[in-house]
Amino acid sequence: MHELKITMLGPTGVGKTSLLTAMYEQFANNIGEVDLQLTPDDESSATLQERLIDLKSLLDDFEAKGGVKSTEGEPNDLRSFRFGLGRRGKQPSLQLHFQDYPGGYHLATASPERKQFVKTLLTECVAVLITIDAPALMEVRGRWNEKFNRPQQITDLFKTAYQDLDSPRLVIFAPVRCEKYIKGGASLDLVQRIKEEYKGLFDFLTSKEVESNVAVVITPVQTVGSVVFSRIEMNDGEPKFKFRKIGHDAKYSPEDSEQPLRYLLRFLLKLHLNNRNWGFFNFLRDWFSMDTHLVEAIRKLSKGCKTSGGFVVLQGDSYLNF
Amino acid sequence: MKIYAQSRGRSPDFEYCWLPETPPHLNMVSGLIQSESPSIVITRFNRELMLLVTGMESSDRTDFRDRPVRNSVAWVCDENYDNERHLRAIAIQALRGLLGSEIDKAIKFGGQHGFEFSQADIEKLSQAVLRDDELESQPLESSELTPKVGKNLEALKDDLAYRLQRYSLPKKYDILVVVTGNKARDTFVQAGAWRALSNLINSDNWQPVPDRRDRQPNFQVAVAIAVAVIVIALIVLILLLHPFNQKPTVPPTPVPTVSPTNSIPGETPEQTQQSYLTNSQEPLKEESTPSVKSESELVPSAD
Repeated sequence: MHELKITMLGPTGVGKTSLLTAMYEQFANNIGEVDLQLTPDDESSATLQERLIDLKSLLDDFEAKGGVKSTEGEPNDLRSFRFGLGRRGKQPSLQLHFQDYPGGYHLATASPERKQFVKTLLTECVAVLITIDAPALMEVRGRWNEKFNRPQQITDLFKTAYQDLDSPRLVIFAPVRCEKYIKGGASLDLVQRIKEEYKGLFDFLTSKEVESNVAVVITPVQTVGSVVFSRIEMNDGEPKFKFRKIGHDAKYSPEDSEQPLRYLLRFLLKLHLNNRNWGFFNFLRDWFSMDTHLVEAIRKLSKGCKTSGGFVVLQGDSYLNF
Repeated sequence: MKIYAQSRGRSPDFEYCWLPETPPHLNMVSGLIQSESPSIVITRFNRELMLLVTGMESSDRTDFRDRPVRNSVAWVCDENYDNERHLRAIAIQALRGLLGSEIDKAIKFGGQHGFEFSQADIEKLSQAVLRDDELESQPLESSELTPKVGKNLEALKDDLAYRLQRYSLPKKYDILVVVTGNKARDTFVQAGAWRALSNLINSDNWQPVPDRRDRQPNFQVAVAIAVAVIVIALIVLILLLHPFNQKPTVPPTPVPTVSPTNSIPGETPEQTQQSYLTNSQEPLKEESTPSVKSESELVPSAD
């Protein structure tokens, strides 16, 4: 079975594992009648179930505390999540391999081996989800953004990894914990702030050598749905972002967390339809041509890709639009 | 005995890391566990024993996201009678859930890596866990030497603790004990672990598994047989292609007699013989050429 590698890029505590958990959990709930299913392997399934319990535990108290357990480990034994993708009730025909890693690999103090690991990962992955902590980006005009989201380090990573690209890539900016910043017209501010804070990265991605191979989208995710940012508390000079439930009876209700996956599958289908020679993506041609129902299912799924309310295709229309 | 500790500082400027350095051989065992889940591993590498206990949540230290910070400790020592007993004693405490709070007291926020630990406190703790008369060192019964796995349940952890209290560690295993969260059964079978417990094993009792070490000699035998078969096949093939190369035994081919009728006028008998040999070889040359196909003929077209 062919495998496509995807990763979530972001510093420690930014919400990479939470995003993956919500993405998987909501995929089945939100795709309606579309004839597709994601089947995790046993280890991934059990671990995601635990992380989901962590996410839901945020709602145990009015002031949300804790969250998904942080990731740890050395590059050679990092946890990854594997999902079989295929039609419902059929053997999966493609494997999506989400590689998780500790956000501390981005720290300046990280070992050369850990830094190299992230660079290699970025080079190997067909899609990268840049996970952004939205409150750090938005509150007090992004005073804590550099500390929490480290956009400069992310930019530097891309500059090293995206050299001489010979096949198309999808870069998804996925701001998480967006509950407060997506209502009404606020999403415009969110998009604007991403453009400001990641200007260096956008400049690189739109450069002549890179632009033709990279599609870029923004997909804001409300990871829990019913928990919003409330205030920042300082503790020994360190900021602590506090969150609260929107009501005492509020339930776990994430929104749009499956959108990054929709965009990913849309990207893959479009690669197939473009019918060009794409290096290591050539197998997609065989994969799709084996199953016309699968093509239709992904086409139908792609129609659910949002394009307003903070969802923007910034570049690479030709890789995403039918 | 060397002691290593892993934890993290509160701020996003820190990440989980080992102090004073990453324990040796950690990369040989870290794939066997779900490290963020409470796990216990005992291994033997290069005559060194290692006990690794991970995923012990701190009761009071949380990170900048209010997530409980986890502690891990590794004890590494030369393998000898005293050290082996020492490690077993600590492992028993870990299996009984009595280690986490004591370790937590020895680790504090601070320092350049975000946390510090007191080596002396952990050493003291390791020495005080079991009285000498509570720990036996009987050799394992032969029926206990087979590898077994089971679900990570209190009952099986208690049973394992009891065995570690009574028996010495088996000598012929490198991976001795693994207790962890979500790891597939096959991970332990492949690693050849003596005892393994995981949340993903659906057996409430100890379940014997194939001994990977038994397969090793079988595998070698299989390889030897395969090599022998290939050698015999090659010999047979050579004999078939060159049946009884009789050059040494067959008498030399008689040189055709050059009769005066075959001779060309003006040639000496020697010249005539040379001309005969050359002409008789020419047709052979023509027949052998087509058997060599060009590369383009052999390789199928990419189209």
